[in-house]
Amino acid sequence: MQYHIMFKNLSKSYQSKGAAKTALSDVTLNIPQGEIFCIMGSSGSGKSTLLKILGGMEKPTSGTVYINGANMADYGQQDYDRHRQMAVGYVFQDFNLLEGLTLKENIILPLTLQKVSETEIQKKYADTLRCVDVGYCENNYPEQSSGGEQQRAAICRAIIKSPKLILADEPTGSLDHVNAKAILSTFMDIKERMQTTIVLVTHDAAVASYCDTVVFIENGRVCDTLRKEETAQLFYERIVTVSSKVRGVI
Amino acid sequence: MKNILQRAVRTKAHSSMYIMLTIGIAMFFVYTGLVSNSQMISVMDSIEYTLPVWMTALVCILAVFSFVYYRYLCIYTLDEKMKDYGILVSMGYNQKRISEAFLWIMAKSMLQALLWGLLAGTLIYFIILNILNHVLDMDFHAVPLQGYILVGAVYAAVYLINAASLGNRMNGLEISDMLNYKKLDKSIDYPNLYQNIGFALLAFGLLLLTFKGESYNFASALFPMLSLTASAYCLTMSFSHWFTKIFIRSTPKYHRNLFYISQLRTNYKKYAKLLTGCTIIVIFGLFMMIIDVSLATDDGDHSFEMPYDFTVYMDAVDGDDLKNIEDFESQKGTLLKDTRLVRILDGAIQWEGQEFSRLVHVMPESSYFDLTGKHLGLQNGEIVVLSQIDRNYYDIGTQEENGMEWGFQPPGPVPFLVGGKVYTRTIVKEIWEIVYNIEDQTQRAYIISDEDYEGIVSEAGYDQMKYFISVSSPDSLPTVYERLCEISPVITAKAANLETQAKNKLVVSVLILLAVMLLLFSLVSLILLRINQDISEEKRKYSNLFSVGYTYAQLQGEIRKEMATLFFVPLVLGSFISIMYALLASSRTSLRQVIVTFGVTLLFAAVQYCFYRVATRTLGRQYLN
Ligand SMILES: Nc1ncnc2c1ncn2[C@@H]1O[C@H](COP(=O)(O)OP(=O)(O)O)[C@@H](O)[C@H]1O
Ligand SMILES: [Mg+2]
Repeated sequence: MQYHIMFKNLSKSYQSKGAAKTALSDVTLNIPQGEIFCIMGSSGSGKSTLLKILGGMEKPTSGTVYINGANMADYGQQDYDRHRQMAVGYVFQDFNLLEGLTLKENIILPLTLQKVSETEIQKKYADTLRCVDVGYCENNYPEQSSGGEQQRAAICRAIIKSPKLILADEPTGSLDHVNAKAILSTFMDIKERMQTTIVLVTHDAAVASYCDTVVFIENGRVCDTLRKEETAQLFYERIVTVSSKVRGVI
Repeated sequence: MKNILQRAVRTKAHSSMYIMLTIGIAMFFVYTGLVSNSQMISVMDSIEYTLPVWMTALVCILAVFSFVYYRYLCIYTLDEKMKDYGILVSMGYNQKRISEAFLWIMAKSMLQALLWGLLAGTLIYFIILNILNHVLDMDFHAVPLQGYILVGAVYAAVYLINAASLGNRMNGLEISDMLNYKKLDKSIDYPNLYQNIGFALLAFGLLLLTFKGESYNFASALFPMLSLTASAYCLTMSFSHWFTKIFIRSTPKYHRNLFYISQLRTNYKKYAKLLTGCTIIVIFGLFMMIIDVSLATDDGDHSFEMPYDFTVYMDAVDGDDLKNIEDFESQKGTLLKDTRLVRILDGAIQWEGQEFSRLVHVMPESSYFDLTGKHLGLQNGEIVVLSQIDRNYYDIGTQEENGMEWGFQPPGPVPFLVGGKVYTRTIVKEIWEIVYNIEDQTQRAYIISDEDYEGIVSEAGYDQMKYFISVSSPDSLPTVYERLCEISPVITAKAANLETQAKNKLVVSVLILLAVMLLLFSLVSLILLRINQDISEEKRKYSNLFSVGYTYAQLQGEIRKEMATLFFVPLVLGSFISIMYALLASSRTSLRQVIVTFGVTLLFAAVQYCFYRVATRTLGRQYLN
């Protein structure tokens, strides 16, 4: 079950108020399966844009994205829908749970979009809870839940459909240290159990140090790539050095 | 320095909400003007005697509606600024001063809306009158002074009451409450209670309509309407509560509609007031349209109430008059189908213990025989009351007494006035029958014995006659009329009556159509306004759904569900209520009326459907670009 992603000379520019704004330019990347792949960069550097393109939410201006060798540009509307519905789970900084649904209802929402039977839904929900524990607060509304609970529910919502790819856009950005750490270990756990590829966006070196590969993006360009070969502590120090260097260069 | 404070206190402009308020004021003014115009009242009265009554009821409810709308506007504006005010207060500004400044801002906006509304209202009012005067050749005038006073008073009250409650609300808050102020959850506390009260009021209103009294007055028009409107209020306020229950009953349905349920639990709690407003608008709009169409399609064929084409009134008849009639009949014999010369005196009776002011006809038994060929066999001193109303057409409340059914006066002695002298005779019977021309359906004829009649005539010193003519073909109407004028100056003609009635009918239906258009316009703008207020938040929600895996088609489906709720929940609830009101409130319900009612409802629904389609399309583009 291979799931291999490749970006080739990817560029994206937005048309805002008449002027073109380049968010990504000439990005070439290789994301191996079953890794926690980190994208680091300061805000406005194009991280979210990259994630949106990967998630099938937006299309690149030029360049290609290959998923298992298939060019995404050749996708029809149905393929895009299937990609978003089956293959990708999204996690956001501000959780993006629906405030009118309980945590449980939020979690099973993606399954109700597919033709999944009621028993299957219950079974998958139970499976998901084994990975991430939100069972004790499943009937609470987001408003009544802590940030950590909400983010764990959001992760459940992403993994309940057993996606091949999880895209997490600053998932710890709104959380305190303890909760952030819990979320990261959840991600590592998911990676171990399901061999899911996780692409994680952050500007926090501490978060990046948990990942297998870290890519630095500034002004829409890839500046550097680091692979984790040492302990988290040493990796963290390396990331800090490189990231200040990257910023210094630009 | 002071300038900065002023800028910090200033609220958002919310011009669209104030435009709505202005339109509301203008509408209110136009209606008040029309309802207080005595000429207009008599025109409406001539079409349908209930019209002025429910128009007045409508004005009352519009006043209540303005109050609710303005309250909503104020709270919305204040909620938005509360946190800013908290910051100002925490920096040391005087809380009372800020609340005064806020209320002053609201007062200025209200004044502006009032002035513009009155201006627009005056313009609309005079445009309506001018259209009616020129196109339909009517003669309406009068400045709606009462309108200005009433509108000014009502809106002053609306402002003052709201200002007082807002002032209390602001001054009662701690600084920390203001700083952490979250928009109040506008949902109601006891949705179950609301739901039950709603259904109870609905039943009560329907009950009032079914068992209404025989007389149609302000109360009998207002109370069912008020009860039904209040029920609509309760049902729409608790709408999200009972509507969610429908979806939660079966699991597949529940799962298929998760997002919609989420919207019901959040947005539609917030939208409750909007739905209520829209429902009330639908109730009135639809009801007025039903009236309008049934007026316009009414063929006006009341000829059974007017068996003769002309009635010639002859007071103090002498030999010359009789000679004239003889000549007329011999000259125009071929043009005439039927003529009757009968003796009928004008009399008056007391009504509800007051002076002799209510008119009756007094006729001898022989005249009744001339007209109908029926004998009554009256004794001296007896009266048979003739009510010229078709009992199949009018719903007449009657009572039984001593074996006699009566609807006008109970059996027993009754005094009446003829030629300045009061006579007392005894009512023994009442008959319902169309016998001769009569304009005022409530005017009765007292039939007395011939001997009695001769006695009264000789005491009064004069006799009166009515000469009834039917022509053989409508072409001869002008000729016959011309000749009749030589006999007596007082002639009423059926054709002429119908003509003015038709014109009056047109006046009223134009008025109503205009009003319905205004209502429909305000309904749609109310909905669009609300959608517009939330567009950015909703857009975020939808793009969030997209990332969860919704396809475009599924998102489009969700938008359709939401718009259907906004457009059709008020329609279904409102049309149910107004159909019930239309069918039950009127004294007579014919098949034609039923057809008109449902036809108009369908038409209304079709218009709503078009708006629904437009809204769905537009939002689809907005949310899913
Ligand atoms: N929809 C859009 N329209 C115009 N400009 C955009 C849009 N989305 C992102 N951008 C611009 O693209 C750049 C990259 O944005 P983004 O990927 O969100 O950065 P970040 O690394 O902070 O996630 C920013 O300069 C942003 O202003
Ligand atoms: Mg971002």
